[in-house]
Amino acid sequence: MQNWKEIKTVYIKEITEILRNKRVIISAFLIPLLIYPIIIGGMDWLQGLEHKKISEEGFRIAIAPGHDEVVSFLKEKLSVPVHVIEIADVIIPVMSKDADMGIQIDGQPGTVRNIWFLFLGSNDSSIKAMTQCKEAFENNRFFWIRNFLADDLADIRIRDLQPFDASFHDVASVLDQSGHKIAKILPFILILMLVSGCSFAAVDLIAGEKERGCFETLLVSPINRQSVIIGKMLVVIVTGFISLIFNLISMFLCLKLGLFTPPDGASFTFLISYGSITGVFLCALPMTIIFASTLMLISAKAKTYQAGQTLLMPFSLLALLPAVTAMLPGMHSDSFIVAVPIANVVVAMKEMLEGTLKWWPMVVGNLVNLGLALAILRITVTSLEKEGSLVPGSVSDTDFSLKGIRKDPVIAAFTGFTVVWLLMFYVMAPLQAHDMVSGLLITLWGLILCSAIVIVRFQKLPLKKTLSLRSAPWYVWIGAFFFQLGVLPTTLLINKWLLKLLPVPEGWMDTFSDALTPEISSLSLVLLMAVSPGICEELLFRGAIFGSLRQKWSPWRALIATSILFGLLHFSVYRLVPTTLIGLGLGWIVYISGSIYPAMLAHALNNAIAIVFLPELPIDTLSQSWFLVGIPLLFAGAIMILRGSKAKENKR
Amino acid sequence: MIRVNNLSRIFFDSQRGEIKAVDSLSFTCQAGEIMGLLGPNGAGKTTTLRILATLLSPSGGTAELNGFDVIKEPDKVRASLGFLSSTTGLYPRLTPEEILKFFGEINGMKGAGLKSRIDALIAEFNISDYARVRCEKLSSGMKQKVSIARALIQDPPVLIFDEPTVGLDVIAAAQTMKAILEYKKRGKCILYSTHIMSEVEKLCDRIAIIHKGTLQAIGTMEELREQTGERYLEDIFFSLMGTGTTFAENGS
Repeated sequence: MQNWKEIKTVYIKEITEILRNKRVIISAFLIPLLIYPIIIGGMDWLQGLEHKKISEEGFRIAIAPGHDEVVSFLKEKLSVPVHVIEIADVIIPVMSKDADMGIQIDGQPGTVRNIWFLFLGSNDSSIKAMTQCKEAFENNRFFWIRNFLADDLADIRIRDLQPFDASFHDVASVLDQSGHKIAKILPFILILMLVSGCSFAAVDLIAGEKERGCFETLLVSPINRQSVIIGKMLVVIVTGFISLIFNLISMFLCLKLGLFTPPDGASFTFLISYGSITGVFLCALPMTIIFASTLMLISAKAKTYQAGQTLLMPFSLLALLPAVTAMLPGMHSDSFIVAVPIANVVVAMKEMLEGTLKWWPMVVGNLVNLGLALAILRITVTSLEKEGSLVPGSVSDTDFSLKGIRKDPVIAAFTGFTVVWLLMFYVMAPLQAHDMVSGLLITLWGLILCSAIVIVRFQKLPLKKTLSLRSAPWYVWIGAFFFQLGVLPTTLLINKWLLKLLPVPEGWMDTFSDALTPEISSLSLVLLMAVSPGICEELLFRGAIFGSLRQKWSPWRALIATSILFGLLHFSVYRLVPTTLIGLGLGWIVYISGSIYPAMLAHALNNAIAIVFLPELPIDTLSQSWFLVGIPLLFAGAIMILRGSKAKENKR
Repeated sequence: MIRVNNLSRIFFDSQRGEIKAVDSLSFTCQAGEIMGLLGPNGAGKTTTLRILATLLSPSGGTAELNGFDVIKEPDKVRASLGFLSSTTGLYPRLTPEEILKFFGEINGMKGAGLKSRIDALIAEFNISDYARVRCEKLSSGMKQKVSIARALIQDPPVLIFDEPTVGLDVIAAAQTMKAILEYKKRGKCILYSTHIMSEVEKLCDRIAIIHKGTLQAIGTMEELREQTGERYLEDIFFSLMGTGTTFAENGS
């Protein structure tokens, strides 16, 4: 109860301050109110100017001499004046922009005649001229039939050439039609406005107060720190929401008052149901908590307002990425997208406005977001309670100098991985595309192996110990063999289920398989694509990266991070989960046995089976009975590896 | 009222390694006493004050305020403390009246009691002319008055001032020191941190000189003179720092 009183006190103080902050008022409230009238009204005005110009000046059309009937047709049918340029080679004035477009007609009367519309796709007037001419010709097809072919087809009645008259009628309600149009842009704008609306308040209330020295004063008062943070966060959420509402009101009024005329001149009725509006706001609420808490967390790392703004910029761009993805055609709420925060809300909003939303993806999506929001909220509160975040001057920035990287094994591991990833993408991938065999050899034995050694040597860590270059008892080797035999079908089955949520595009599997199967003998193939990755990739991931991360992190945290990085190096969203799971298994072998060699065997075995057998075994044919084979093998192998661990402990 | 015993604080810097900002510091300060904390920049003064204000946790040793341990009872420590930093820490877009009301409320005050306390402080510090003007429009001296009033809102028994006259003109600085002396007379325990020698000489009953996180000397002016054989505080200070530069040598 006391906490609620404190939160209320902080909230009232902060909201008063925020509402007096000119920067926030202008950026979060005033600009959203003005931006749409200015943009939409401005666009409409510019379109009007362009339309007026075309109406007055007309089109300049180049045409070869001797086509008087076409010239008369254009002058009669086009709604704007037509200025004809008679020239034999019509492309010349079009290229020099002396004509908006050229018309070239091949063939003689009485034969099938080709009409070429020559235009410049880089020029708006040219495109407009082409569109109008094309429509004129298409809409007056029978005029030409009569004109050109009447003599030959005198005995055919025109109606025989037109067996039916097609017309189209949109039966969707005005509400749905309107929703469909609005859904193409509105959800993305809402996310954009939420992020920008929240960010001004988040920076001002944390980084700004630190800079002004107010935060310190507040923290030496007898108030619960959680109350301070939650009170501030509520203000950030409210500011984001008010900004969102102002955006919607402004957009609504611009469309309602007819400030916007669609470019095609079609009628546009703006309608949106109260249910959709309520749903959009319900979806936006967990999103706002996610944004508010994350922005505050990031803002706490800054010492000044300006530094806070700089730090928030990358996050804002990152937050828009899933929103853009969700706006792509083909993204529906019944796929994996429900598990992707931000994207799930954008898809849900889109479908809600279109009237096609099913209830369960919306509930699941919002639950995912709510869970994430609460998790980030908790992390933010815990992080902001730490003295480093609260006390000005005591924040130690991450040191990305060579000296700093050397001293921090986590930064060293991640920097090493980033460099490898970039080199793989920009250098090795083109090299492999040029020559698969030599490209792979250079990648594995050059880049990957050398990187492993460089990461360890750079930090001055002991090479043998960090890379786990220790012998393992024979039963661990056998255990690793069976363990991997069990891991493979298990991960394949899990992947099969995942592919139902994220279907692989048609032909992707064949292209992928062809790209990774150079024309060499089977033995060379196994040496190149199974044994070499088994040695080199293990030394980099389970050796250098896992070994470095373990210097600072708990084994399981290091293991999970290493596995995700291993998955990311395979450059495919479809392979991310299976490679991460395989990486987790391989890491576990190294962690338990203390030796990297059995993991090398397991990795090579995994790749060898994938190369030799999997092309003959389409993933659709995998049945759940594979678990019956996989799980026992996995457990049997695990028990033998664990025995190795016990033997190691006993030896100590 | 303030009892500091073997207090230490170590920071870790990725480039410089471990830094002992405060190293085995011990002193006490009683009710009705002003203890001056004197030292050059980076001596560890602010770190010590922040530990006492529960903003930082100590790496070793103990600290008590008004009988409450800074680690075990931080809420009670904060309730007993009025803290004033050199930045004034005022909210620029709130008025002095609003600031006093806000800090009163988070100190558990409300209703008529809070109103009369605000009125009393406004009258005492003569800030009624600008009590409803936003702080961003006030001069440095006005802001410092409001800031002292803010630190006193709950009438705490212990007051900590961290370089309160930085950036103030002579008149505003004199008014600030007058207010501090007034509160000493009322029995407050005051810890006054600064690097301005003249202020310490005028205000403080006892002086603790710290350098590189360690206590170099502590006592009254007379005791420090006896200890170092120097007359002026500046010479005493340089003598204890071991820099060899004295007031007399400077020819000042």
